[in-house]
Amino acid sequence: MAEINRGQFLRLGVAGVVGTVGAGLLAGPASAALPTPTPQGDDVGFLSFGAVAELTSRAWYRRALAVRGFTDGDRRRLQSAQAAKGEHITRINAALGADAIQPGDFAARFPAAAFATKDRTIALGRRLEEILVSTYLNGAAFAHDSGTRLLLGRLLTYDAQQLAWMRGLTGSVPAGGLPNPLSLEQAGAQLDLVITTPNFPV
Amino acid sequence: MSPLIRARRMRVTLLLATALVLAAPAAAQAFTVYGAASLSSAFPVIDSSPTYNFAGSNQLQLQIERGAPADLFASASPAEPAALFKEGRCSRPVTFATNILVMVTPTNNPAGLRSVYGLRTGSHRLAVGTAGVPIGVYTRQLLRRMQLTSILSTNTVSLEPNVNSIIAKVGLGSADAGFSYFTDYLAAQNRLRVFRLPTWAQPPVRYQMCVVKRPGADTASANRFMQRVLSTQGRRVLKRFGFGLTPRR
Repeated sequence: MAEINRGQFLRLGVAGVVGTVGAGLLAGPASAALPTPTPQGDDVGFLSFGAVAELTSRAWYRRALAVRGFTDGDRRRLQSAQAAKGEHITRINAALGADAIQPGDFAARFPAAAFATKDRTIALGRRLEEILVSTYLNGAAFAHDSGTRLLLGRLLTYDAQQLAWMRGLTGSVPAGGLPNPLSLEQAGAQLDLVITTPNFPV
Repeated sequence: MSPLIRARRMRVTLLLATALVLAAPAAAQAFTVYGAASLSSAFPVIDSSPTYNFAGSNQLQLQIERGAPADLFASASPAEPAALFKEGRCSRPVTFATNILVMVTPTNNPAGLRSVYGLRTGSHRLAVGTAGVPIGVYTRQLLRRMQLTSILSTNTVSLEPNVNSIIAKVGLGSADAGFSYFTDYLAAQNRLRVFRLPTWAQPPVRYQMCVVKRPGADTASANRFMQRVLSTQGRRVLKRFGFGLTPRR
């Protein structure tokens, strides 16, 4: 086996780094191009719930931006997450097709005191992200359609990051693990506490 | 003038008079409202003068397409008026009320159901709208969202043509449970027990109406009726019967 000198070794190292980065760059767009989700059977449930919960979560980010006590960095993150939630809704609705959830179908009904302080605000936001992550965990494991599973997995990744960030804001250990998966029955009971159907008296 | 001609003139005069007498009630005849079955309690209170025909909205749409003498069409879903509007058979539909879905059981709840999830055990008797009628479409949409579509195969399901049939079947105890609008439960609450369904899974139930376009339609009366439904008084009645209201335009 031929020996290599220091210069060759360094060139090999640089080639390796370039190759790894290049492969990553090439692989990025490929993995970004999601196979079109075509929900089968109960998959619609995960997506419909996700859309309503994301709508509610987006409303929380909007309200949180008006709360005092967040740093400029926090606010930038809140703003970016609010935009990301909008994109999530668009992607879920594209998968749902005729079953898409319209923004006017539901409205957030947060408790009056939920935004009284920064801590209370974060507690509610964290709860909403936990509901989303718990449901997406369930969906990513049990959705029938692979495209739907992948979409739910990506949404899960983003919302898990948001959850970790919120845990960090409240002083909890960011690497506290993911919450347990929730069935739609359990998750729905929690989400129903903070939503309403507009224009209906009961 | 000969007696023959006089008699003939007399007959013609009599015929004309008879025709006039017969024609008069036709002109004064009340105009006809074709309405979703779930509007059968509220609409006559808003206006008692029209002739009403209440049935499943999909059946009414079909009748109008076949030339039925409807002047105004009020549907429990936007799909039917939208189809008629597209075909040029009615004016642009207007939303005038909303509703939500509930599960109903007989008052004594013989199956001992505690929530809609209790239907997962199967072997119950269910009354559900057919796949074409709005209550049936909404029910299937709700069950899909809740991942409960399987209850339509694990229980004994009777398919009903409209929401009144569902209420009747459950009220008489011929079904252990059924899916109806909240307003239909209210109208028969002495015979029924209600179970709320999750808010997040509720499909958007919107009522729309439009003025039917056909030769000889009483468009003026239909427009007046529409204004009456949209008026403060009309909205008050709809609210009293449990309907939700959309913001005023």
